[in-house]
Amino acid sequence: MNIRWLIILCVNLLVYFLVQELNDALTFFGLNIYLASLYIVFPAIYLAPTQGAIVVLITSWVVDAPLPTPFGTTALLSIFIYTLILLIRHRIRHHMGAFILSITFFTNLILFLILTLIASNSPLADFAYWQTLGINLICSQAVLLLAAPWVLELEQTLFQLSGTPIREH
Amino acid sequence: MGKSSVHARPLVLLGCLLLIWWFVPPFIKSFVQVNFFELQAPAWSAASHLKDLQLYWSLRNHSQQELIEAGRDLARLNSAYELSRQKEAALNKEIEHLEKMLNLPPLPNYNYEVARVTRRDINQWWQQLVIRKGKDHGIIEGAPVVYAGGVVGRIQKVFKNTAIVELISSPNFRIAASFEGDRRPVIYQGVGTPAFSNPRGIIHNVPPDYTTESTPKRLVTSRLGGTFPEGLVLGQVDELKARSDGLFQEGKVSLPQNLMSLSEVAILIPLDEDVDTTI
Repeated sequence: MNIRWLIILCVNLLVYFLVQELNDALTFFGLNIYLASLYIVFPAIYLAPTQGAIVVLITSWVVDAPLPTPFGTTALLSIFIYTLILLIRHRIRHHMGAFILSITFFTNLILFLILTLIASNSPLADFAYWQTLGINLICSQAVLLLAAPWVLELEQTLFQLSGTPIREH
Repeated sequence: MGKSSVHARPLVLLGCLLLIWWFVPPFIKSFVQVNFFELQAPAWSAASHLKDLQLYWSLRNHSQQELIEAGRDLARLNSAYELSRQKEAALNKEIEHLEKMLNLPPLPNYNYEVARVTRRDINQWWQQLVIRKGKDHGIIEGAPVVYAGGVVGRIQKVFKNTAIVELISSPNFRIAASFEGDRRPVIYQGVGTPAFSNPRGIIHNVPPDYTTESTPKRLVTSRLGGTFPEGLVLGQVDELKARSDGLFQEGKVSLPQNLMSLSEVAILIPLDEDVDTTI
């Protein structure tokens, strides 16, 4: 039985839970960390397309369920980005580490900007809004650079422990 | 299979998923949403219970001397509250008497349901809390949520044992308000929480003769707001400026900082069925 998708799904849910706890602690400072690309890039790189799509959909629905945006917004956005990564996956798989990290970094940036366009209700002329947006984006990208290698390492360790190959052949 | 067809497969997958999602009836989407929320709710509740346990054990470390002092302070507070309760009972009788005399409709009565906060989702896009009480505890959509410092927000969605509260700092939150001691209505709207600063809101339609020059004014809820009882504190208005049309003024509202670190809130559940809680 192939449990690769289950491992990545569990890691996604663990990361989601940890990010929520971190954000809960940061609310006092008005800060928020957004790391949605972690839920998309690794399934796109390490899983078969259909399995990856299932993992991305389930994670996105978990993320989407409590949000005030129409249900499915995060899922559609994630699947769209997932498809784009699948299109260039044959190039990514030959390069590891830094290349995957840079893709995760830019994917997160794109997701952050698209979500800002979709979900923002604040007056656009408000300087404080743009300032907060900028600070949160910088903090999110900085935390992503620290968290992505750890998540990658965790997934690879879990693959090794479960006796499954790191890459889908 | 050709190379181009292999590369087209992700696009076909995307197209299929989009088509399926497009044709799925809304009730199925709603069903999936509720189930995905209910699925994760126990995890958030468990984390919240663990935090409560952590707090309990940290409180257990307090010395007996500290507990005696806290007990003494509480006894004093209880005496003060007991006096206030007696005054309130007398005032309520007076109000009832006046309502009968003037043939006025009675003021809405509420039941207070206290709930712990399990999760905070506060960012530049949305501002909400998840609380540990839901349909099973009589929570209804649109019910006002308050704490010792004033208004927290209102119930946006209710699930079995949890509910989502939209904060007053949310840009989607808009109610009728008034200045303390002045019954003329103004419109309050949240604008979000800037980083390293207090959450904020704005007020519109302030009469041109109103001024905050001498002291900052407290903004309170108005009965015209429908859902909220009158006189609950929203925030403080430091400054007002005239709008370009000259007819009204507008200003920024500073909301209390502890709104971002609440661990317990109270939900006001109307006792009269005819109280309108529609959002």
